[in-house]
Amino acid sequence: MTTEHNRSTAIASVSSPAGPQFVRLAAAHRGAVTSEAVEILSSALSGPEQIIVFVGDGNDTEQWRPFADAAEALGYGYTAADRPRFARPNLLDFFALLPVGLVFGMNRDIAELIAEQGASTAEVFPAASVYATPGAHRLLHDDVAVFTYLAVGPLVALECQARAGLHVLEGTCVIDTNEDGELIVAVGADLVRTGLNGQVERGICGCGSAAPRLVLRPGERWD
Amino acid sequence: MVTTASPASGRYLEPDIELADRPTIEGWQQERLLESVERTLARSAFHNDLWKRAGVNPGEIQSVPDFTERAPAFVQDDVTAWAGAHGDPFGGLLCLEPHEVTFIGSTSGTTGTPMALPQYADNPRIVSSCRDMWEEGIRPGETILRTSIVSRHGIVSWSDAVIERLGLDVVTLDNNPANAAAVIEASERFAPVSYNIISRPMMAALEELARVRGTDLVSAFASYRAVSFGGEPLGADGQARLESWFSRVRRQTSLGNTIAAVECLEGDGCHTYEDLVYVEVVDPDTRVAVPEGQVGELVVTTLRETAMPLLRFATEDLVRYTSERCGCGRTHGRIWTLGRRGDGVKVAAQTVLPAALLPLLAQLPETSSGLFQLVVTSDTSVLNLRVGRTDGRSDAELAPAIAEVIYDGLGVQCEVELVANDALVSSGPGYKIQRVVREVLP
Repeated sequence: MTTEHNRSTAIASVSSPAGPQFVRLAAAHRGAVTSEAVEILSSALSGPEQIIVFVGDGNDTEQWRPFADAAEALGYGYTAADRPRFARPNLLDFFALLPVGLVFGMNRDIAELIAEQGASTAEVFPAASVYATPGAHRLLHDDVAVFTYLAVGPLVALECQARAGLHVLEGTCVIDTNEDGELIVAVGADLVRTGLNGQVERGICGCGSAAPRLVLRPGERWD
Repeated sequence: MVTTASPASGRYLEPDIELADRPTIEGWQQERLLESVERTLARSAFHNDLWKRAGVNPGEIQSVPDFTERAPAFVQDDVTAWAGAHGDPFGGLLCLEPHEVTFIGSTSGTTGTPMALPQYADNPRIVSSCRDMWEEGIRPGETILRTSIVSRHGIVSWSDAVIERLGLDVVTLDNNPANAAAVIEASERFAPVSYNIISRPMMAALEELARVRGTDLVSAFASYRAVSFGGEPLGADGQARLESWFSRVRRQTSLGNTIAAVECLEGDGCHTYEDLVYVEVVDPDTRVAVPEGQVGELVVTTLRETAMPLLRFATEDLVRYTSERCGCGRTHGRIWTLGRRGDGVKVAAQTVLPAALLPLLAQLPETSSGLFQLVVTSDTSVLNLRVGRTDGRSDAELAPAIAEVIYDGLGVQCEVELVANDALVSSGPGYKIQRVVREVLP
């Protein structure tokens, strides 16, 4: 192949509680191998034999990108599963054959679907850490290590082990609140309304990070 | 390896390969096929077992004719059985170390446990898709709209590699008719030049949205130079509907989970890149080659796949093949997919294929979306049809009208169950309809 170019621009669709929007992601915002993703994979996965499962559909792929890039950099494999996959009972058999170490993208819809099949997330992914959308973690059992993340097209904030808010990925976005207390995310020239209330806190996190932390108002959810 | 591409120029990304003469292509095939046999049998537990049971020694294979005469063919069920018996999601086909695999896609699992499809950097899908998009006229800096089926193909591996190699901007949406409004909005706002790929359920959703909102689809899709359709036969009615919205329609089909075969701008058959995949068309029962141009089962052998190479995978797709040079100048083969082996439903004294119903249901406005299922029950005296419908006549009026057009077209009696289009689509994965539903074992 002789035609090589730099990473291109992606336009992601996002359906926030405030409504559907498009977010334009310039090359600078796409797929930077974030130190957070590398660090998370390094601690969550026991070795290259373990894989990552991205949960969601074609509208969600930009939010997976930092982890996918980190996985490729570290030599981990990954797979993806959308709603139709989870709706098939034999998918649980399929996952049982895969050494899943991390699940990213668990949302309320899929968590409920798993429950409808009489299974729990812990049974489907017995050895995995699970990253879930705001609110979805309440549907998961206590025996799963669950962390919350926020994506508005791209991934913009991640909870750490200290669970003192979601670290804002400053290389991708700026998060602030409007006069109504709603969290607004700036990605490049696009402002994304989240429909979520919360605040951005500064200071050193228990994990040692100095990144701003997004603290959602209790009960906020993004299904 | 012999195939070194010259710089992209004009219509073709790799003209030295895409326009090579047949003897040159056949030379590449012989060389690569022998390499593939040696490499695959050294690493694939499934193939090793299959060849041992068939009593074939790899050393016997010294040429392409040796291969086609002696190598055993296999079907998906053979791999599924291996996967179940050995607890191996890759069905004994994986020839890389697990950590060398970047993305693990999977088949739909419609008929059993999903089959893992390993992918990795620089796989042949990237090569073939780059050639197809370049030939379509897509150039660096342009925007395309891509609908994805993430479980199957992934997106952050081969598909994005294509986008990035060609330097494209991309709007990505899930391949689900629930995104019909987003497709229209993205088309109007970002002016993509290519839509890859549209499905029948999406077409139905777009039509319904246009009807309800009064959207002019021709205007909404004015920026596109082409739309690709794949996953099932399009039919003349579907082609006409797409051509009423888009300036050009490209059909594409799968070469048995290896690479896509895509129509060029001539629209005269889907190109098989035979430097990447060796194609046979055989009698489905005897597995003996049928004369070129006749309908047979597509059997594929990968020539450059290192993760999950396949040696004589019988796809169960019924196709017609030609090696004649295309009007575009390409010399690789072309296929026309006619349906799936096993999709034929026996009714009275004849076999009905789903594709035969498309032009008939297109005659009625309520069923012109072509969303339907053949339901196989113990009663083989009539054709049991589940048909998706839009607003219009009552069920009591529409069902006999459908039965009449089916009888006039095919000469079979049918029982019709009418459901809303949305309900039929939501019973499946969204991007396709399971055309044959067996409520009794075949």
